[in-house]
Amino acid sequence: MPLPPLPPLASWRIPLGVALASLAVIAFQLVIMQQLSIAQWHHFAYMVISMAMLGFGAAGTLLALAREALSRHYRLLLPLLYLASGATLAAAAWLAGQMGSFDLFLLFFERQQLLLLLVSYLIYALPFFFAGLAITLAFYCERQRIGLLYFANLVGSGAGALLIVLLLWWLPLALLPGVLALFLVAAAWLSYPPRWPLHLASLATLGIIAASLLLPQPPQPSEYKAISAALQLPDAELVHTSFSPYGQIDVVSAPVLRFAPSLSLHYRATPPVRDILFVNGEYNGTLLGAFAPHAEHPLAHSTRALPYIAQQPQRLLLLHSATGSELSLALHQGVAEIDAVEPNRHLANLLYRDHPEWIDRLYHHPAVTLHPETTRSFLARAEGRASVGYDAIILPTLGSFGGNSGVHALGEQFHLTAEAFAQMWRLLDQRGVLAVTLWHEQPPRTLPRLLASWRELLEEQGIEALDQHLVALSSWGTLTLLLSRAPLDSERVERIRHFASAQGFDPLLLPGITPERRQRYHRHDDAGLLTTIDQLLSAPLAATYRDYPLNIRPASDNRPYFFQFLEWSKLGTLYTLYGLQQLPYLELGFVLAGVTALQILLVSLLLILLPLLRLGWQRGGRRWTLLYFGATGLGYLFFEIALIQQLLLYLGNPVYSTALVLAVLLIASGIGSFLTTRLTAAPRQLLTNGLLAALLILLTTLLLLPLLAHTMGLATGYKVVIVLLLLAIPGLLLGTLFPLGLRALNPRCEAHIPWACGIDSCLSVTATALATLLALHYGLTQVMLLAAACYLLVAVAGVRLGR
Amino acid sequence: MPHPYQLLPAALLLLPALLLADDYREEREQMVEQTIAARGVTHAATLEAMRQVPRHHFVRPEHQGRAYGDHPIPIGHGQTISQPYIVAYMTELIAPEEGHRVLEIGTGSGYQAAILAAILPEVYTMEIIPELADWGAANLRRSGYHHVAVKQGDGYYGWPEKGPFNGIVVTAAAGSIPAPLVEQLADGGRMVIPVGSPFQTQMLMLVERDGESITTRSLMPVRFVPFTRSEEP
Repeated sequence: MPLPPLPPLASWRIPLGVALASLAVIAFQLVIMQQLSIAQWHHFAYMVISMAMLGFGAAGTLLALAREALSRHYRLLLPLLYLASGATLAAAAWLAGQMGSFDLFLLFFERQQLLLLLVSYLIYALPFFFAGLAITLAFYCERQRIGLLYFANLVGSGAGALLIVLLLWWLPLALLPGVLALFLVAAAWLSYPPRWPLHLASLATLGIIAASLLLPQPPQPSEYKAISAALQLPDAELVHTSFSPYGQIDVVSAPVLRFAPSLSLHYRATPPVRDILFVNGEYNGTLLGAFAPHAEHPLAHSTRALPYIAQQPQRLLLLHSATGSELSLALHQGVAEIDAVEPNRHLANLLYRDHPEWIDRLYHHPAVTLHPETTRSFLARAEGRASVGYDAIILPTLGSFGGNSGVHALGEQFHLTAEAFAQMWRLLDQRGVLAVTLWHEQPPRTLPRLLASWRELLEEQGIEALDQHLVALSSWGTLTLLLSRAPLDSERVERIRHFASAQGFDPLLLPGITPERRQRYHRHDDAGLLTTIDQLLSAPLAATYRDYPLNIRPASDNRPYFFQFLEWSKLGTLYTLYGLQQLPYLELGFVLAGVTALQILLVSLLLILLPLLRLGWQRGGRRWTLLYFGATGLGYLFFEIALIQQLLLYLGNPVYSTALVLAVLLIASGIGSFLTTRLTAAPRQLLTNGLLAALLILLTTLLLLPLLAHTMGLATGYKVVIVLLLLAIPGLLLGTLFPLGLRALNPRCEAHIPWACGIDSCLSVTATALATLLALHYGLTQVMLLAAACYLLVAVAGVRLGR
Repeated sequence: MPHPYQLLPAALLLLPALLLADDYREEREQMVEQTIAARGVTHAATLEAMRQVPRHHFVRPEHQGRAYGDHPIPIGHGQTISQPYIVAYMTELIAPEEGHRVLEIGTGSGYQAAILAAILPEVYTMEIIPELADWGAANLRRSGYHHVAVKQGDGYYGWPEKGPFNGIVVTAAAGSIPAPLVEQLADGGRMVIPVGSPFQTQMLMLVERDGESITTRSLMPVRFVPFTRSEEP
């Protein structure tokens, strides 16, 4: 007996369901990002998410191949797909755990790791695939009101980006998949016809969600992460764990955790035993605390004491003060006024508000003012003040013992760009110094880039006698570089020389130093290090940059990747030196970005071409569909990613600025989509909107950096308003092009609609990976220009779309 | 007397080991020729030790087939057995010779201690992780290196009652060169520490004691030419 027809639904239910599903999957992306960053590394998380997002593209492909069958059962399938997405989302962490332990560091040594990686991709792609299929099905089956549905999709996504930031503060990370899955259940219920298979599916999904909430699966750090090594020590204890959008903070205590970072070999006292703080399983700092004035401070026996030897600073700026070990040294040295800047608010709150006793209340010392913000936003505000003149600005220690295998290559380091150094220079007192300590590394790359940055800075200031302004002091493990605003006088030079002799350190750079004195205590078998230093101070820079086997040009605000050194053209030389197995670890982040882009390109190509088996290869304007939706996918994401990175510098807080930019852009685009209900999808409209979008992006590209530079010192509230104004109009306009395009396909090329959704999804993901690589090589401005070029193509394709 | 069919299971069980025993000798020879001697290690005793010590006894069963490859191998607990070239180079650096007493910090699988024990009669090794200390000691016993003294404990303080040492090999370096180890170094003694991730090319650090003078050297296992001067004016 045939089933009775399904009752009609209220018109608001489907759009609301789409919004809730979009909210859940966008928020889930950020949850996976956090989970995998804790268990493995940030770049692995990025790699998995990028592939998982192709689940959306695969949904478009499937719908294009089987649209009649799927659309026939639309009302029944829609809630089932939401439930499937909810169930797989809640169970993803558990499923990934069942498949064995993937470890990124073994990827290039063990073949089975490749299989585990593929399984991870699949598991994390499932929730996106099911939700993507549900949403694309809704777009296809209710194409008459595509403007409203796309509005719901974008506004839901924007809300998800904001909500997850709050949830990450409030709830443990392991509970969040279960919580987000409830949104998908709600989406299912909103479109829920009363049929028994749905009751069963609902119950099963709720059971899985309940299990994920009652038996949460916290991420387990790789055994090669620093926290795993610390926890294996005898009597080691995890004494604190907390979560926030900034990541997971853990504190480990063990009787053998000693603080002795590259101390002088003349130092014979027993180093203090202190707890260690980890962020996402990586070493962040030791909770060193205060030392009595008469007690020996261990860091006074390291090269880090150099700024206090060169002079007695009274006003000090400490950047990325973290757990306060540099602060402890500064207070021990009697500095009277210290500004400590720490961008991780979670960490700052923990050490200032929640557990100041962990570091003997260092941040509450009367001489200290803690600024929980990014370096650049602090520098911009400080420049706006009438009289600032620091005796010393101390940057955070760069690298770690033995190097960091290049896992930070893709991170933006706005505090190490040419523009940042210029700001610091302006904030120095006439006799002030800029100091940074770095761990020795093989091959040397941080030191050459730093010297190149400082040489360019000095040359901009019209200073030619570079050697009179620079000091480099080396121990067996670290090297501290000092840049003095005034030429170093003989008294300061003598003090440094005396300190170096007493501690057994070698002055690699110091006015008047003799060649034999440069390697008295610590010798480098490879003379290249000293040669490099000398060349960087005296030889033409262009030739030095060209001949060095790594890219050591200074980072800039347009290319803020200080720790990215690989260059495609020099890979051959490095391969000869290091071989295939070790080469990836020189800069794992960069290699993973390349691998990610390649695999996404290949899978996207496959997913885009597959529907042509149904649509045919020859007929019906497919090239215009491909061009139009491919260009919208690429253009939107190029614009979004470049904006996020540039506004990150402007707004200061990386977590909130990413959420804000995403939310504003998506919601504005959603409103744009909603407004298309009043427009006709005529070729002239598509041409006009496409051209206007390209023009607006071009204008934003040209005006953005000067505008941001001029308003950088404003209060955060004003800056948020500027960002709203800046993003609202382009966002609004960009949001019109996708729904107008889909409507233009209807009715003549109605079969193209799911394919178009798949193309847009696949190329959006591809754009994310490509944008990263392009920004690394050419800069963020160039990525924005490419976005403008994409919208020109949209305009051209719009004229022929659906005809 | 057992019936022949009762011997069959035991024979089948031993068969793989019997079949594989000689194969590894060939692999060891290849390892020494192609990845160690070819890259400049010349110390005869070290090369002979690398030929003798059954490296496959010092890896987990699932990795035995890859034991002689030129790469590190995971041994659990976040540790690895270093690639053969690094082990040979570190051994050559401390220049072990008759009458020397050496200490290793970070037993791990026991392979480095076994190489040292193939050259010297007096080898001491310490491991902080109890499970690894037990496993490393078992591997050494299984391979016949009964004269290696294994101690589970904190390597920071060294083994003062057995010192001074002519050579110290630290395989578990962590940001500092412990002062007690420097003190336990005999006059003219050498301490070697690999620096860097086990998956990367590791830079080796050599600490040398000459009376009260302590000097350090950064050595390059893979020669890196960091800068070639432009030939243009």
